[in-house]
Amino acid sequence: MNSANPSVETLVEGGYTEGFITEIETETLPPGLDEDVVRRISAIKQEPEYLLEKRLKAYRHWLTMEEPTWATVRHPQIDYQAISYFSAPKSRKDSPQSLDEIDPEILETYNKLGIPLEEQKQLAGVAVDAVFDSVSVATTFKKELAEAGVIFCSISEAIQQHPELIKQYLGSVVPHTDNFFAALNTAVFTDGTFVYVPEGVRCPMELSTYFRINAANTGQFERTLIIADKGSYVSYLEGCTAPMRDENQLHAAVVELIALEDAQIKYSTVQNWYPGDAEGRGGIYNFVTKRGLCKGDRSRISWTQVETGSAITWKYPSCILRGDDSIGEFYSVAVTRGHQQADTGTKMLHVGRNTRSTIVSKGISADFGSNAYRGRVRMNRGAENARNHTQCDSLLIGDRCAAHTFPYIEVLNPTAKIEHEATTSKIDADQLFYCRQRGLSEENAVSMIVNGFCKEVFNELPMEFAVEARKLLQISLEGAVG
Amino acid sequence: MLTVKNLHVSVAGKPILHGINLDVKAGEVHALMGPNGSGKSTLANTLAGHEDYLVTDGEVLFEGENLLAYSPEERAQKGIFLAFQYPVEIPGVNNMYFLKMAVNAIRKAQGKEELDALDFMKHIKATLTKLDMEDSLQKRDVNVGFSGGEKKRSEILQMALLEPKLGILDETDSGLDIDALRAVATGVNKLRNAERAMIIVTHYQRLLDYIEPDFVHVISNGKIIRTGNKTLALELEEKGYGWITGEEAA
Amino acid sequence: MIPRTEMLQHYRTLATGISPALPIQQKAAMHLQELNLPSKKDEDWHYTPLAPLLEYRFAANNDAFVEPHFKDIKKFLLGEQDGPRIVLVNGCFHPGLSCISDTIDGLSVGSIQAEAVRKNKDVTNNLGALSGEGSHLFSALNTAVFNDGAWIRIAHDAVIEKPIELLHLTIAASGTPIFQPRNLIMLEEGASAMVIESSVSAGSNPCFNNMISEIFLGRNTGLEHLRLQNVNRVSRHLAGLYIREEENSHYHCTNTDLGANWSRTEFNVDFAGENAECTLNGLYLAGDDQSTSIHLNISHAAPGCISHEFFKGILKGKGKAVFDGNVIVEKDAQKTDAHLKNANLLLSREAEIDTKPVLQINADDVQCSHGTTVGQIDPELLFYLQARGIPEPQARKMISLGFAKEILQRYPLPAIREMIEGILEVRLADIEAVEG
Repeated sequence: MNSANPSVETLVEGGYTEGFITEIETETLPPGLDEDVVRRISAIKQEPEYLLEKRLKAYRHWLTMEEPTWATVRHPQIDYQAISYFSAPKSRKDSPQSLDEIDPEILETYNKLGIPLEEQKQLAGVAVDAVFDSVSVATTFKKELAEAGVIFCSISEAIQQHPELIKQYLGSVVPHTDNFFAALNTAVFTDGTFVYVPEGVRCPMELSTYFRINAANTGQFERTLIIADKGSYVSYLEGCTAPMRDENQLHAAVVELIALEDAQIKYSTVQNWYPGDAEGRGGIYNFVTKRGLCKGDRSRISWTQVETGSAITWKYPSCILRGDDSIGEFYSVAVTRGHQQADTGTKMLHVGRNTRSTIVSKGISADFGSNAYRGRVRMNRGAENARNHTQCDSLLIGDRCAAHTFPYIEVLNPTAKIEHEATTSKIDADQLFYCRQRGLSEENAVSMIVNGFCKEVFNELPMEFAVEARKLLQISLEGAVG
Repeated sequence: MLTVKNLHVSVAGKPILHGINLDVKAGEVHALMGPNGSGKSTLANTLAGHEDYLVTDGEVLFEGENLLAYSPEERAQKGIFLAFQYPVEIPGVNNMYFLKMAVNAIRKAQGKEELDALDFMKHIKATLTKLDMEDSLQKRDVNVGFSGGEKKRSEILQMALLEPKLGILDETDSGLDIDALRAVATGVNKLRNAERAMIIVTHYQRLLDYIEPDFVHVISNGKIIRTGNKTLALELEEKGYGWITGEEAA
Repeated sequence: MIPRTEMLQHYRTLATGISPALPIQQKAAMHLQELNLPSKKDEDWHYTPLAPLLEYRFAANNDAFVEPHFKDIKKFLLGEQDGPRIVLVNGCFHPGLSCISDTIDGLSVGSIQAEAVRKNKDVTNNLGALSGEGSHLFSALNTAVFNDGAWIRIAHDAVIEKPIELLHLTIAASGTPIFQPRNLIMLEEGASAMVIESSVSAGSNPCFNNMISEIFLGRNTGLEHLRLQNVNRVSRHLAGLYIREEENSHYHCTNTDLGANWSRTEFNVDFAGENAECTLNGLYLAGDDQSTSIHLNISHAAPGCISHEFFKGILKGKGKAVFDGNVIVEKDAQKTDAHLKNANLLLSREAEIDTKPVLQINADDVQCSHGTTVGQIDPELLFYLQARGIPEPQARKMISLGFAKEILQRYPLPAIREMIEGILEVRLADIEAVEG
């Protein structure tokens, strides 16, 4: 360590030697961000030196960057000094081993959200690693996974237990220089999920994490790393809801996926964070960097997302198709209501030969909602026989909403083939009348037609998620009919 | 059951119906015939409550109630069914799911218990058997990729499932080959009963070879100009609409 | 390559020390001093290659040129020989080659400079009304110090049967000159006309054509605009078109870009009245060391308007093309019908296409779509033709020509269609198989 501020160094190191770690559960760092905060986070997590260096490098780079303004989103200036970069929930001294040890209040929050942990535990084939205020509080099904050789743990644990994998892969897909929020995340990430599926293993269950944001003024900077070794398969589900609150909250996660030869990763998201009130106050700022690397030949990465929440969504789950014959997919439903803004899409970078990508994006705007698809498809010189098909459809409900489509298509290989189609329209009046003539209320008719509009995307979700997504869409559109 | 008095209707500011009078009682089948553009489909859509059809004068009573005060779904729930001339495609919406939603919406409004998935399956199976139809369409999306005949058969199946008091068939025969026409007619005949009335809107007489109407009305230029029994339809077939309307044959 | 700062200074200098006639020109000259050279960071210029603009110091040229005669321009003409014709030579109205007798009722044409001097209200009131002071350095430069150009007015309810020909001829025998023509086309209510506009060069030196056309379409008007750019392959060519459409007006443009080392065509269409319609068809071919960019800015500000844009591109050699189509539907522009299509044929390993069809929709009762494709010659089609005995190179040419024809057949005048086909025949004769 070569800190410019020796007193802080002393403090941190002192804390470390004096068993600082036992106090973590109740510690919340005061708001503000500087190198000392970065050092303290690293120290709290008992991280090795190289990781601290990585964080500091990212932090110093972040200082030189400007917040992106090119997305079609507007929001008040974010005060990065007003955010607390680490908080831990009140809990018992040792990490809980079963649900009985979980804070009853936390369980109550889950119950209110309609997804009680008890039920989830019983859901066949679903393991749960719940992130609550940046620190893992519950992990189940770990045993079965361990038997299959699958590592499914918090990223903090992985940093301790699997240093070689972390060292090799963390930041290998999303470097800290990638963008403003990725740099910030790399500097201050607190926790997240780590998955490693060994060669030839088909992960025996769907992996699932429910993210929650709960403590006031706490930015969440999750870091997720999923590695599918040769010939393996894993399906990962991520779902989010957040309780009602007043102040804007920043969420800047980074997700990295790596698929080696013949491996397949399916990453599904249902995002339903607090979108703000009817006047557009409050709500989550969701600035996420998600990227997958199809590193090996014949590897495959699929992103499926249903985005109904957050005041602002800014995310472009992407694929780098490096391996020959690798496949990238992006299926998205984004709903914006009230004053919600979504700027989302994907990047498909075709590097290898015979690479394929499919993009299906369905945007629904209602009230004052603004929905933008922003996508980039690039066929590099060497992307022999690469193929992309893109379909972007926007549905408008009400005359004050907006739908934008910004595709960027770059082709440098003459054997590559690209097809891009986009449509924008309101709900077909004839469809609506037909349904109403059959006795359906206007609201139910709209909900049904919109669900039909999104079917291609829902079909990509694992069964239990698809049901939840449909319900969510219906709830999201309640009262939207104009 | 249905009383239409002096009905005037405009579409996009253009008057189409100029004083329609019609009285339909339970159990009756009325055929509404007329040349293209005479206003047949306008009457059908107006009864179903399409918002593009503006009633400028007159009234419509359905079982003694002012029908015009109700939304399309309320009319459907009260027992009015329109078999569309061009059934619309709804991509992504499973036909079976759609039918269950519709059946239960109507049952609920009528104070009946909603059917669960199993009972609904039984209901649909029984109805298919009754109509002598196959259920190959139920797994597909609503009308998506259906042939002309499949669409019309599906409309008749819907009518059977929703058990309306008044069925309005808007040019259900148009574009059908003879087999499809026969299948549709067979379905309709099986749905005739003493409580149910039907209005069959058609340009040609040929559907009436299979469905025998109690009354035949000829509509021209937005008015009913002649009412008779099925022999009127036969005469029309022979002599053309010009015979009645006083214009060149249609 | 000349450093950007030097280049910027150079262009700024071009607009200093002169005293333009119109207030808008003075404003543009001032504005120019604040503008920077376009860069990758400007969304409108993101993909447009900028290096070709830094190669030469294109400067105003006062050298005398060889006086062209009618026989020199005859091969470029596409309209009727005795039809109305305006010839601009090096950006300046050429009375000898132009044919502007006042024998056609309702048609007035002339030199825009001369009209400005005469204080013609068309020019004093409307020049710059659509382009403004200039949205980028070059449009500001043109507005500040344009050379000359055509003024065309079609009177109330006049229907001009004969095509009006507008020929931009550049003769750069020496140096690297910049030419800046400026056109103003006005159709009064109920008028209709056809304008054939072509840009060609007689010299072999590189020049920079920096042109702007402003087109005002009154109520119930119709303009057929047939365009062809085929300047020499070392020149730079920037054409800014600004079109304002009033109620129930119709603008149909078919545009082909074949020439220039670097070209950029900007269509700015502004719907100012209801139920207006605009159809833009375009073809571009970029071969070795050519780059061509098409930029569309279609603004649906009024309800009930229709716009259809369809552009096709062929890329060969080291050619690069950019298609940047923007359709914006403003709030309350209900019943808008907008369809944007772009298709590209990539014929070589070194070619590149960047396409960006953007829809920005702020009204709900609309029918909007866009579609883009990029591909190569369909091998099945190639095989079919070969199986019918057609040699491979010829089959490739046939297929590529067929690809272009979908646009070419939209030219309502055979002469221009045939001229372009003739050029394509030659340019597409050497398509080689893309080695696998």
